[in-house]
Amino acid sequence: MLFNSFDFLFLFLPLTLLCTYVAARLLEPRLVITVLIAASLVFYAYSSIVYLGLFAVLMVANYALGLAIASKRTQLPEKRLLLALGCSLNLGVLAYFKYRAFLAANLNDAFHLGFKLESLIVPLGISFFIFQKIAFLVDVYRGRIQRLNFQNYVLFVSFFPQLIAGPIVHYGEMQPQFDRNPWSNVAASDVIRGISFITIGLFKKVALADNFSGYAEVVFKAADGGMAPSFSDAWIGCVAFGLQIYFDFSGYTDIAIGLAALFGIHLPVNFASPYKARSIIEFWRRWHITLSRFLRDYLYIPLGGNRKGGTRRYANLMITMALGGLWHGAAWTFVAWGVLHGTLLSLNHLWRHLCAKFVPLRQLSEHPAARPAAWALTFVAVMMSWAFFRAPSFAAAMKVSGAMLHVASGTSANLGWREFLFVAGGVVWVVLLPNSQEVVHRILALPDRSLPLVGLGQGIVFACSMYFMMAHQYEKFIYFMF
Amino acid sequence: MRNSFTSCSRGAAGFVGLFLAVVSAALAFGEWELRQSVYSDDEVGVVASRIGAVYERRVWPVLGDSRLGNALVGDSQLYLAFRPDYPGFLHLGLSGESTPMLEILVKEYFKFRAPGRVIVEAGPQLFSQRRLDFGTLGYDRYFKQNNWVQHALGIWSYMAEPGVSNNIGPLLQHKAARYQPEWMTAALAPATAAEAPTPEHWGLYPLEERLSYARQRVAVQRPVDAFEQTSHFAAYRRTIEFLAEKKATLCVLRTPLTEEYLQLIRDDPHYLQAYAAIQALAKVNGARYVDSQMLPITYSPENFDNQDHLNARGGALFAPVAEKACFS
Repeated sequence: MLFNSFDFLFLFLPLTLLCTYVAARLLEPRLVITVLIAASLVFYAYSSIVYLGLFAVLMVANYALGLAIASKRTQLPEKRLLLALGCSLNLGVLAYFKYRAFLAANLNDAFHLGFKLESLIVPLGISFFIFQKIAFLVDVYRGRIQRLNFQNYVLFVSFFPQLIAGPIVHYGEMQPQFDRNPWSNVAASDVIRGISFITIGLFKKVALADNFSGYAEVVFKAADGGMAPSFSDAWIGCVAFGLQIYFDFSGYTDIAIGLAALFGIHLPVNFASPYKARSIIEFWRRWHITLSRFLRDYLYIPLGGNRKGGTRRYANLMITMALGGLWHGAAWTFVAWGVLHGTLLSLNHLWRHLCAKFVPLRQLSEHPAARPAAWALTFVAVMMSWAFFRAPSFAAAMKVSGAMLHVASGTSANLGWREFLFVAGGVVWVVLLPNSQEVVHRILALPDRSLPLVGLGQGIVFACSMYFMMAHQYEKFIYFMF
Repeated sequence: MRNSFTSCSRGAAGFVGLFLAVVSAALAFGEWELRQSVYSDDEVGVVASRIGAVYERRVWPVLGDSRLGNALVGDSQLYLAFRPDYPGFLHLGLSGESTPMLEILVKEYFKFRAPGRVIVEAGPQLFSQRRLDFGTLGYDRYFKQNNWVQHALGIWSYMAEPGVSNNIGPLLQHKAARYQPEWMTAALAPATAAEAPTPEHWGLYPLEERLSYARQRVAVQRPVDAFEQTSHFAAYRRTIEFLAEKKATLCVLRTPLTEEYLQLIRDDPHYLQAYAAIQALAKVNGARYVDSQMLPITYSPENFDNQDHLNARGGALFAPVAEKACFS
């Protein structure tokens, strides 16, 4: 079920809120957990009933493994073995559904084999819930989770606002909230917060992201068909995609945060104005924050992080980012995108290291003109890297990124001034305007008498978004593919 | 502001109240607008009217009558042979349909209706590559409200029906244009190049052109190799079986084609096999097979719009005779 669908917004959500309210107020507050679990399973089954069984089996298996690891009777070597077993199980399932055809195709190419493995329908949200389960097992192993509760655990893995595309949450940040029965006493500020986030997120998705998608589509489709785009088309297409994926994914996250808030639950922030970043390091602290956190805590640091010298650090960065790229999709273009970002991060760390060592470089980096230059450089690098993320093939990615570097190149796909101005407006939006968290924070700080007017304004924005949503025929969120 | 929701401040209550009021008003307005416009073909697309015909029993300007359970299942060849003003039938097809789409539509249309007289088009072009590429044309996403509960309660929402509600944008633009000053309408109107007038009927084209056009159309509409193995032929077969099971008075009808077109397909094995397969299907399911060439009508080029479509004059000549042949 899509967040941007009539069924979800006007049937599933009101019914779930009503049932939660009845259970919390009139029955037993802990019953709400059961209500939310049932709603979450219905939510998942609606989109992917075929894989509901797989989802349930993985859920129970991981809990059993978690219990075994947490048991005081289990010795350290056994704990390690169980953790390895759990990680292998989860990654094996992920590999089977998401990477098997990719793996077979590459083995065939490399060794001239004749494997014939067809692509399967990938279970919805698998990349997200697998990571969440791995994080759970590792946290239990590291002793970060002291107490396990099956009901809390099931709700943690299935809670519908974050089930399909995050934010990737940790058991440790959800259990204390569930224990407090937040739904029995939802604060007015949470309701305003929830509605505001949902309204902003929906607008970002249906009014902005879905409109930018057309411009990117024109350019990348032409490139995939063998046509080299012109310099301006390549830039408009790539920046349009950069805006589309930002508004799409951050819009999804805003809705997820807003939905959780309606039940009194706080989900972590996932985006913090990433296109305002003045370095790639800063970009990754602002973009898909919960994925960056996962990759850092469960991959980069276990690989040795920056504790084993400069060379190892850069190697670890490259490995982490390449695997992060592969996590997005079973294609070499995603790996290339990850490697590109790994390289940029390594260069960024190297630059910082050199600045710390050489005074003239430090002075240069502290010059007032360096700030806008650093922003521009970061923005250009990030936008160029999107070519690999968006392109359906390596050849298309090379065509688009090549055109971005050659002023007099290619043929025009008829993206003109109108498209340029729309995309430029989007850039101004993401660079100058406050992000969703800042907007909601300001709304919550308003005097009480101003709130009805804000509610009226948000109602109008929501209504317009609803019409956009219908006109666009409920386009899926990009991250549903991953 | 950390007070509980049940004892929230007046400002917070005003926020939620006004938000919900505006959203409810927008929902009600959208539903009202769609209900008005779904009936009118100039405001929303024919897909919306066709979905409306599944839910509502009335006479539709572009599709005909959805009250009786008589239906015409095919593409533009059948649609133009029985014009929408031909009484007593509802057109489930209009132009360029695919058989998977028709299957969905037929099954949904007759879910809560008893079929009466149903004519299914015997059209080899339904199994051409172009049609195979169409798939379900998005119809598998529609009709979720066409269920027992909502049917019994008589409650459905066009706002919740994707094939209808996607017209909300053009519809509101259309409404807004009525209140737009003339200078703005002129400024916003897309520039259109003057087109050469199309001849009024097929007979006005020179013979060479007619042959050339017919050749092109025959090539595009030729059924694919092994068309009987395709999912589209399976959908066509299931549609006929479904109608037969529902006890429809069923007729499979081959619609008229121009002489040029007929000449070109006369010895074409793809076309011949398709007609034979369709005829066999009709026989197995107890449907009458009517071939327009066997009817006592003499067609002239003046009866056609183009290679394979009757014009209004030709339709008026053909439809009553065909209906009689089908059901008498």
